[in-house]
Amino acid sequence: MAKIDRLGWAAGLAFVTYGAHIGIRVNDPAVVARLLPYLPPGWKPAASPVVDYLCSLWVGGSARPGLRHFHLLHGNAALVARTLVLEDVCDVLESLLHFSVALAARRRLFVHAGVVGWHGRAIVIPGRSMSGKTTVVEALVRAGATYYSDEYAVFDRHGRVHPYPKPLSIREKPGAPPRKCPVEELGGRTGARPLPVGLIAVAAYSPGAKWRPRVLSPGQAVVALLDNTILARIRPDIALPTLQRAALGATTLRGKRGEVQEVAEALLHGLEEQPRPLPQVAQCHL
Amino acid sequence: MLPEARQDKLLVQEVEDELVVYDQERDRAHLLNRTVALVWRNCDGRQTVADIAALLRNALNFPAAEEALVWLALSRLERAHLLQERRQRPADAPGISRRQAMRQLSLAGGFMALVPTITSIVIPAPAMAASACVAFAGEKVDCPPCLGTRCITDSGDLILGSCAVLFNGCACHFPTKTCVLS
Repeated sequence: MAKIDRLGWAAGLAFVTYGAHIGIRVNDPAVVARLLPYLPPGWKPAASPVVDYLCSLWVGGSARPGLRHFHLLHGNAALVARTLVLEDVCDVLESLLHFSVALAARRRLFVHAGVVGWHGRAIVIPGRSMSGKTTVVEALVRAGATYYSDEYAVFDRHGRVHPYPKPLSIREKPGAPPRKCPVEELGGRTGARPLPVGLIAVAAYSPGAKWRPRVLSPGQAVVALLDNTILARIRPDIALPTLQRAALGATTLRGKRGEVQEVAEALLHGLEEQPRPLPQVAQCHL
Repeated sequence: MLPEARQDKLLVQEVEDELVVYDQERDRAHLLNRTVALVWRNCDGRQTVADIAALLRNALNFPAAEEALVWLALSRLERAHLLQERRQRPADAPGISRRQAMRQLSLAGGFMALVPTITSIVIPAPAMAASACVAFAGEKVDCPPCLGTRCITDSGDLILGSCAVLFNGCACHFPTKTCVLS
């Protein structure tokens, strides 16, 4: 890292969110204010400059004939992006910040999934990028569900899901760049309290398909979630019991989906029909 | 033969009557269904295949738990590297294929769910499980890792793929730019 450290860093900010301490340093102090909209949800300035993950953004100067000044982005010591367009590098920085929070979060397990709340329980839709999570989440929010995230299901050790309410990244058409869309723009609202998982839907998009899912066992649900867990390799000792608790109270469905409207209605209806888990009895210490 | 379950570098999570076994040596997770879980739990190096078959009959309360079913479970466990060492099946040991087991168990009255099965996945590296990549591909997820793959936009900008879902045919999410893999 020493080589990067020797560059002339002029300003920076350190923040904390979900227990992850993240830092950004830049060579141009004027850029710092411009980066604020790209920060992850729930961020607060950190008191300490010691961070778990450091992003370094070098803003290139104005181009001269025959000479190009690239904008450079490093995540810790690794070069992540080199581009002439500052907006592009900011988009990459935003992705990197979300990822670094998922890596460095404390007492929370990040699973790549879309999440909404419905009647006091969460619907979790695990899946990788471009699997259509945001499309399903958008349809669910438009149908009245509470928005939790279109990127990460954030589990605590009890298996409950916490919100990660970043603006939705909606693609108008396949392959198009995502547009940031606040949930209020869809007429929805963001959840605030953690929810137990009611339904896990592993829904792969297939044009023209009918949503005829099969029910998975809780073990299969754990494996489906594990397959999308950011820290599964690094902290399986935490991931396994957390996902087990999340899956045990939930129904898990897997199937191919076609039209998003059909699957959204089926998911909401399916969760309504499920028996509610027994309330947890608080332990009394006499 | 006295089968013995592997113990080292494994994390085991019970999920109702199934087991999720995480192999830290190979970064794989295996889901053992009820039958295989019971067989694996009883592979203690002291019990014979016949002993385990008897246990299976009692525990699962189903009539068709022949030794052949245990052998099928053991072959699945061996393939998943969940047994201590590879052991040759005796030539006279009863063999059965998965299809035959399914047929037998369905004839025995709807015991299909008890056909020994192990579902295995390769656990993704953090970058693979995330969408922190700068270039995206389709939803194919079992592509080979390609960390360090370069995405070059048509303006000549270089974007390093930090995500393993980047593979042939990827499309950069920046407008009007196409990616090629270097």
